[in-house]
This record gives sequence, C-alpha cells and structure tokens, in this order.
Amino acid sequence: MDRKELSIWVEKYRRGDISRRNFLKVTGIGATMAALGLRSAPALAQELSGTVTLATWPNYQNQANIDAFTANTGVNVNMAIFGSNEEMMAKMQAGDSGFDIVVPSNYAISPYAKAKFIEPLDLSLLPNYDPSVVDPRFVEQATIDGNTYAVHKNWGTSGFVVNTDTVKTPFTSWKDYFDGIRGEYSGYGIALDHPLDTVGFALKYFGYSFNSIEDSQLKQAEELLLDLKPHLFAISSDFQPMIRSGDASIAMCWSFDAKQLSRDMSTIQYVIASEGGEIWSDFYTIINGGQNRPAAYALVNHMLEPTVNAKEFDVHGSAISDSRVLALLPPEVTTDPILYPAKELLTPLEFGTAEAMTNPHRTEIMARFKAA
Amino acid sequence: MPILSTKAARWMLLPGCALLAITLVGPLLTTLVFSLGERAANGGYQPALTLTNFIDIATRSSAYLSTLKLAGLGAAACALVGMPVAYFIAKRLTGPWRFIMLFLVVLPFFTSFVARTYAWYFILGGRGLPALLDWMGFGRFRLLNSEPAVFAGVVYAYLPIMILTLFIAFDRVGNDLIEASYDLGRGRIETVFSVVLPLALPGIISGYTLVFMLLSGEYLIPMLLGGGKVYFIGNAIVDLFLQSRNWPLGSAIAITLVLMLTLAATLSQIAQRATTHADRAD
Repeated sequence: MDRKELSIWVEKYRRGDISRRNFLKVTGIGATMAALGLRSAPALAQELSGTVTLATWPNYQNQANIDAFTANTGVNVNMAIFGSNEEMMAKMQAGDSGFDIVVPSNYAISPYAKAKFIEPLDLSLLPNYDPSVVDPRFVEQATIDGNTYAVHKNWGTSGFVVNTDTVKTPFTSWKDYFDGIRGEYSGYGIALDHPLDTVGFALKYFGYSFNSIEDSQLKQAEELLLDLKPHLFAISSDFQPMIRSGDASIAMCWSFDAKQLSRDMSTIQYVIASEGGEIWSDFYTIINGGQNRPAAYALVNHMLEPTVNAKEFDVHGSAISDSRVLALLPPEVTTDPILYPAKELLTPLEFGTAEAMTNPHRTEIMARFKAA
Repeated sequence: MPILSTKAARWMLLPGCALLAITLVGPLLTTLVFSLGERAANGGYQPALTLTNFIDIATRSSAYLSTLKLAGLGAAACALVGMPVAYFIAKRLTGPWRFIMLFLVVLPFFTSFVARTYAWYFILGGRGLPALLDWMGFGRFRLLNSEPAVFAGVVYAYLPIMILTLFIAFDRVGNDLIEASYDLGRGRIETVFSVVLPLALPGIISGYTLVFMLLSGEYLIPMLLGGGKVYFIGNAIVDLFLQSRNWPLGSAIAITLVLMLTLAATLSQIAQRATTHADRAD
C-alpha cells in the first residue's frame, strides 16, 4: 500500500465511511500492531452494528453502495419500498414503523417534522453533507425554523410524456393534455395515481396554482378530472409498460420515468407544460427515536459521499444537485434536457406544499376520480 | 360415554376463543369505532361520534356495483367451468390419478399470487395476446384495463378453490346412489342431472358463496388488470387508508363490506338448508 492509497483510506475512515475494524484490516495497521503485541486505542468513533431500515422508493438505491456499507461497517440494511409519501406516512401514523431512515419528497418533510416522526439532523454526524454545494432551493425545502431536517438526495420535475409515433399534433401544455385525451386521443391517456400531482395538473389547466386549496378552484379541477376519467386508459403510477407496449401514448409522469422511457424509445418526448407544473426533490431524513441512530447517520453519510452518490445515479437516473457529484457524472448527463432542463423552463414550476398534500378536499377529489 | 367431560371440552375451547377475540373481534370493534369518527387534519383518525362516513359511502356506489357484478359473474363462471372438472375427478378417476389431478389443480398455489397476476398483466398487455392477434391478422385490440381483463384474472385466480370445493361436494354423492339410478334405467346424463347435481347442490352453493366472498374482498387483480379503470370496494378501502388517509370513511366502507358478506353467508346457509330439505322430501 503506497502513501496515496493509505491517505485515501485514512480520509474514508475520518469520514466514517468504514469502521475502525475495517480500517485497521485494509491498511494492515491492525496486523502490524498485533505482530508488535500492541492493541489499538479505544474506538475513536462509535462501533456500528445491527440493522438499519431504509424506507425508500422502487429502483431508488444502488444495491452495490448498500453492500459496500454493510461490508465496511457490518451493519445490515433492510429496505422497505413504498409507492407514495402517503403510504409511508400511513405506516408511521399507525405507529412503530421500524424505520431508521425515510426518503420523503419535499412536501412531506414538514408534516413528518410536525408529527415528530423525524428529528432535526445532527449535521456533525454527516460530514459528507455540504449545503453550499446544493441548489439553495432544495436546502430551503429541508429547513424548518432554522433546523435542517433533511439532506438532498435527488430532484426532478413533473410533466407528461407523449409518444410522437402515434401523437402527431404538438403537445406543449396541460390544455393539450386534457383536451387531447378528451378528444382525438381518447382511450390513449394515462393519469398518475398520485393525488398531489394529478389534482395539481388539473388546477394548472385552469391556470391556478399547483398547490391551490381554494374550494371553488378545486371544484373545477374535480369536474375536469371526472370528465377525463372515461377517456383514460389507466390511472397508474406504474405506467411504463403500457407506454412501451403501445397500449397508451400520453402519460403524466415524473422526469425520471420520462428519462427511462426515452432511453429505450426515440419517439418519447417529455413535456414540461407551458402553464407550469411541479419541481420536486427527495431527501434523506432520520427517524425520531430510531433503534440504531448511529448506523442510520453513518448510512446517510455514506450515501452522500460524492463517488458513492454518483453511483446512485446509475440506478435512479434522476437529477442530483450536489455539484461535487455533477463533476463526477458524464457531461451527457448534466446537459440532458429531461434531467437538467433550461432555467427558464424551471422558473414557472412550483414545489408541492404540505398543505396541498394533506388537504382533505384534494385527497377526496383523487379518491372520487379513481372510484368514478 | 363421551371421551372428554363437558367441563374439559369447554376449557379446550378457550385458546380458540381467545384467538378469535384478538384477531377478529378486536379489529372489528376498532374498525367500528373508527367508522364513527372523523378524519384528522393531516389524515388518520380523530375521535367523534358521527354517521357522515356512512352517508359518504354513496360517493363510492360505483365501486359497490362493480364488485357485486364482477364477484357475482366471476364466481358463476368459476362454478360453470369448475363443475365438469370436479365431477370428472370425483366420479370418473380412481386411484393415483385422482391424486395427480388434484395436485395439478393446486399447483398454481406454489407460486406467488402477485407473480401469477403480473403474468396476466403481460399476457393481456399490448405485447402479449394483442400482438399475437394482430400478427394473425385479427387487427389491433387492447385488452388490459377493462372489465373482461379483470374477469379473466379473477376466474383464473379462483378456479382452483372452486374446483376443490366442488370436488368435495361431488365426492360425497354415494356411488351406490348412482348405481341405483342406473339399475332403475336412467342413463348417464339423466343420472347426473336428476341424482348427482341435486345431491351436490348444497356443496355447489357453498362453493359459489365462498368464491363470491373471496372475490368481494379482492383488490390486487382489479388494481393490476383494471389499471384504475375497474375499481372494487377493496380498492376504495386501500385508497382511503393509504392514499387519502381518511381512515373513518375507509372503516365505514369496511364495515359495510363485512355486513354484505355476512348477508351473503346467511342467504347461502338458507339456500343450502332449503336444497337439503327438498332432497329429503322427495
């Protein structure tokens, strides 16, 4: 082991990416000390053990990164996979979720914090987190009353995809989406099974805020959705197979879905609607009173290490804001128009709010839309 | 003389009763209490005493209609398809062949229900059966996310249960009675309709009821093969608990589902008794 390699290991150990035991093993220091009859000083950092449970989304974590964490620390990682923030929240509301780390979207952070499901982060345990390298908009979403409750994981936008193979008219707005599916393309459209987005997009059709909780505006959105329902092919968040098979041609979606589809189908076009839509970010948060707090922090810290975080991109394929990670990603990623759209397209987009997510009227509209 | 004293027998009922109390009565009472409450501001339950949730059920009427229709028709289709198979295994096969056939019937249960339903998702999706039909020159069809797709899914999933129940019903019809019918000059087909079916009728009714009840609580098949276009009571309950987090309304719907199934079970009991009496009167 040369000097440079040793310094890398020392740096990794300092950051908490590997345990003391592993540090001594890989560097050979342990063996040398043993041969000399020495014993290492008491642990500098707390020894990690046991299991942590990470509540996250489908195809959202790179197993290789998780495995490396387990190999370095001896901590086993369970993954609980969820389809929506609402489902994760329902699990925590029911009590004793068993989670240690939760991956919420921006609008779920404040309800979680208010309900004391998650704790204000002890940033000294996350040396790999540097707010100055993340877009301030995402840092702001994670801060409540000056406390950091969440660290940025990845971000994206919400809009819709069109398969230009079958859809010949240009689609650029929510007006095109709702009118097109109720007209020429009846039976070929898909709406997301996601209350915040689906109701939000219907509001955008009328030019209202994505987050509106005004009764009169919601009434109009509900009528629009109920009118759309018979013309839809599906209400589903797992819609990619239906677009790939040609069963449907237009679908509300998140940017990473659009990216995955366009990678395999050259005729897929992602539209950030001219009226606007949503910008979102997902985060890591630590559960309040978790069973294995040190290991939970160590895992989040591990995931934020730039080379590790860059490998996460291979799996989730979603934009990452951390500039240290951007430097490691190939240029065709960081200039990709779906993942990193032009600034002027992002300006009209709104972050979803906690009020919109938890508003009973909005969720009931979605439930009625599905039950219609 | 009985093997156990009445007292000892009562004591032995205790674990079963305790288990029922914990796993059935407890949750049912909780659901009942929830159904009279209100949705908390951020979702969930907050205590109240109101019947509004039961009134709001009207907004989900299409889910009830959809469930009754597809569960009723689905169970009927399972019974019609299952009867000849069950009769064949029970009355025509002997020795190891009966065992082999029954084994084949339950074989699908060896793989996960979700995986088997997903298989239908791909069979009915645009690259499955529709692509084959198109290639054969029948034109382009779309099968997924429709009532027929869900119907195919439920018949496929519940047919084995129906066959097993009907097998027991046919197996219980004594061969001596069938032979007596032949001796008295009735033909094979006539014997099936005048002897076997009337005697097996209570079992057929109970098989139909069982599958109907299981289907009424179904939510995975309509979710995967109905794509949000075909919507069961089960889907409404899942959405209300996990998505809208309106636990009180979800509980109210769950209570009505329990009542609906209790009613179905009672009607089934009455029908089974009536058909049994009719046989005795003959």
